[in-house]
Amino acid sequence: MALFELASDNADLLVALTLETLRLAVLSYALAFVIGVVIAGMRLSPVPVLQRAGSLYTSFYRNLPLLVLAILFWVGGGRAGWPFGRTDTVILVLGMYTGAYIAEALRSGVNAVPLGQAEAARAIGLGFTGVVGRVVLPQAIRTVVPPLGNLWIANLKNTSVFLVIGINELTRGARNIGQANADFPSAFLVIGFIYIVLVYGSAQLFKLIERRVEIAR
Amino acid sequence: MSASVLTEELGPRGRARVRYATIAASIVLAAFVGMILYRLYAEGQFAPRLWSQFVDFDAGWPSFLVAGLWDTLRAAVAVMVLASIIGLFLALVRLSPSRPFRFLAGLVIDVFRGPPVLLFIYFSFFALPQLLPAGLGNTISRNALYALIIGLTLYHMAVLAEVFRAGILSLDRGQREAALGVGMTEGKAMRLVILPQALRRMIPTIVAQLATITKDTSLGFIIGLSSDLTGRGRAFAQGSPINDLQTWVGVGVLYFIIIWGLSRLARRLEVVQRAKLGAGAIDVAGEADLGALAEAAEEDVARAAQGDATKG
Repeated sequence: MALFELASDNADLLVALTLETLRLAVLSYALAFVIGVVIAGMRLSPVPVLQRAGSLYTSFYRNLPLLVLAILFWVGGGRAGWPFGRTDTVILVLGMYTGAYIAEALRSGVNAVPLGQAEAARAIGLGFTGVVGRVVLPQAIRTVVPPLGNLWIANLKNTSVFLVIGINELTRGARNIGQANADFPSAFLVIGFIYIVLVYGSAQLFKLIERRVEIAR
Repeated sequence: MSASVLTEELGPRGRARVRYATIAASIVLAAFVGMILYRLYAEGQFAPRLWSQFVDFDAGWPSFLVAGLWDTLRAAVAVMVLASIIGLFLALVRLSPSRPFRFLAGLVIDVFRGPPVLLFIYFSFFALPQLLPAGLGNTISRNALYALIIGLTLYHMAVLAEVFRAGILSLDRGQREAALGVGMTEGKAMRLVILPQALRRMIPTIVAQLATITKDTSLGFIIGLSSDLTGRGRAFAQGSPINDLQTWVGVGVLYFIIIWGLSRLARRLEVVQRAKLGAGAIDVAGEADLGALAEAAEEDVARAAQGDATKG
């Protein structure tokens, strides 16, 4: 069957493409997480300027198509001294994009902790670090695991958009392999299957984490 | 003062600290923005001739871009309608009493929700023409808009199927039982009692999904679509002087207005819905914008509940 032939003939390439997609996804998600923590912190702080700046950031990245952001920075920025290379651009732009969503997830996770919890913690004499570190965050982290898992999956899929700036990852590879073998249907089936394994594998992993951190309430 | 979990009502010392922090943060943020603006200025990106195209009504450029927005919206609505019809069908089969059909619908939904939407657009543009009869295939390979609509529909029908399923399941069981109790058949109960209520509940989620679909139509750029906003951006940027940055800023502004407006509307509808029905927003795994809507709704309700608690 042409399908299996195509997969076995291109096995090395498929592995390389999968690793490239995973590498970009992991690095951009790591950056997104850092950005998310910073922006969520800004939005939760009592300083109005920081709150305003944080919400400007999230609404900028959440209300533009990722493709337009990629072109804006790579092509538009490219005319004005954008100092980063191809791979760095993917990590930065995707990291900033997913970071906005992570910030919102973290913020709503913290806000989901009942006010009384923090009040009780303060009443028994815990300081700010005690309230946040021992009472609020441990509860917030648990509610935040499922949305973070969903965002990891969305981020993994979004790496494909960056083929527009010339990144050779799975989706781009599907097109190339299809072209080289004059068999687009098989190529897309194989690559689609790889994505499905990655996505549902990730989903299982996050379910496992969720069960690990779960506590009876 | 906002009632945050992290900070209590501030005293005089706290307020003083916030004042210092405000000044420090303002300086840092202003320096950051100033640095970027200076960089752009030094590169000559603020030259008026690079921006004048946006208001050059004689050459028709402003209406050229706005017409692209119109095409973008039309494509998004077409996808929305097609994906909703197929999605609703998939959801109903998924909830049907027949086990093999249920399994099949579940499989289709999961398979089509897995890969990135761009893979489906590529599939429609490159692979479908090889699979379909030549006449139909050529129409698609010559017309990127069709490929875009088919590709987006393949993906979003699966997402919407999950939305519909969750919406139907969110309805109280008693509704169906009561409908059966007064002698309706399963089909009639679904059509006359369950769906009308469930569909109303899903309106905010569907509006949020329309915002996502609008974002995704920009991907037509990759298969060479030239009539939508992103495609027209490419043409807009090809003039002399070199105005890439200005073009994509302009395109971004137009996208922002539409997508921001739609997400705003979804959020507003969700809050109203919640107040009336008390049902939650529908969050589908891997869909960032639906997750964001669900979180926002969660937060609004929590805030309202805390407001009640302080009142009482």
